[in-house]
Amino acid sequence: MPDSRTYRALVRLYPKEFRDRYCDDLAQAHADLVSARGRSGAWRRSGLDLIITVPRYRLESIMNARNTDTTLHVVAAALLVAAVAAAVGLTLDVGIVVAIVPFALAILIAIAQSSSLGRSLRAPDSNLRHRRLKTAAWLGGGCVAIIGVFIVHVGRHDDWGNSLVLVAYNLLFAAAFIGCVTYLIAGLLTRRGRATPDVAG
Amino acid sequence: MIDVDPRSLLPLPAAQFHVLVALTEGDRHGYAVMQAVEESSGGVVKMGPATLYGTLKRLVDHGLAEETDHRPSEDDDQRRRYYRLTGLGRRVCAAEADRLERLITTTRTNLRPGLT
Repeated sequence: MPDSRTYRALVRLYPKEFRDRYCDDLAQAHADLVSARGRSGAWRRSGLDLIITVPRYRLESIMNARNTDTTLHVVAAALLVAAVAAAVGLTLDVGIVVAIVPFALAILIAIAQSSSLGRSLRAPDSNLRHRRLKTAAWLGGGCVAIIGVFIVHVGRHDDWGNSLVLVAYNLLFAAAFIGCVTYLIAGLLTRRGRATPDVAG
Repeated sequence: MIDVDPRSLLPLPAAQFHVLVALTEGDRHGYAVMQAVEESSGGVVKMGPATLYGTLKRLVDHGLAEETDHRPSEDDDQRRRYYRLTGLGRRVCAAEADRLERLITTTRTNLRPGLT
């Protein structure tokens, strides 16, 4: 039926996860509407429904818990870029103006993620807090390891090595430290996961 | 498994509450839920397919509803996906009804003092 084909084609506008799970059910519900209310009645409801829900489910998909780790990486990367830009700016005596854009971007993304809207759009993930704190611990360990390796390096060579080595150590340490702090703050701000619901009760 | 306090999930969005109420009458497939919601709301709430399945997805993700293989009768379409309330869904639905009842009582008391 052309109705069914058209509706199925429009269902492709939804996020993959949603359409993979519900494509057949959506098409069936639309077909039921066509049978019960006729084509125009069905399309009035399904069309309005598409207009309202496509952007909403797309936004939900972006803000979903699975994507929050990616978002955190973006925040950490933006903070690192801001730190490097500030360091370069101070070294070249041009100030820290260039660091403001990535810093502001990181703060904006972090606020959007931790806002009540961001939280309400995410599916529950009981392990999120634990995962973030664990990642922060690993990155904190990485910071200590980098300092340790650096101390050993200085001890062996009796100096800090050439400037390239120093920059590499600083960059590695800054990346691990910023990542650690970002994950630590995000982990502490994440609500403790709910226990598995007592379905039988 | 540890019990979840139903009040921690309140207030429920209107669409979720309507779907939960529809499922209190028994296991239903999606379109039957859509019809039940329209009927129980006196035609005020008309859900489209994606609103309905988005709401069902959220209820399933929160453990308030679940898919079931059980069919209320042999005549029902075996290909359709049926849903039912979980124990948590039943308790959350009751808690939301209590909350709304208190709200309605307060509203009536305030609007018509002395009559309730």
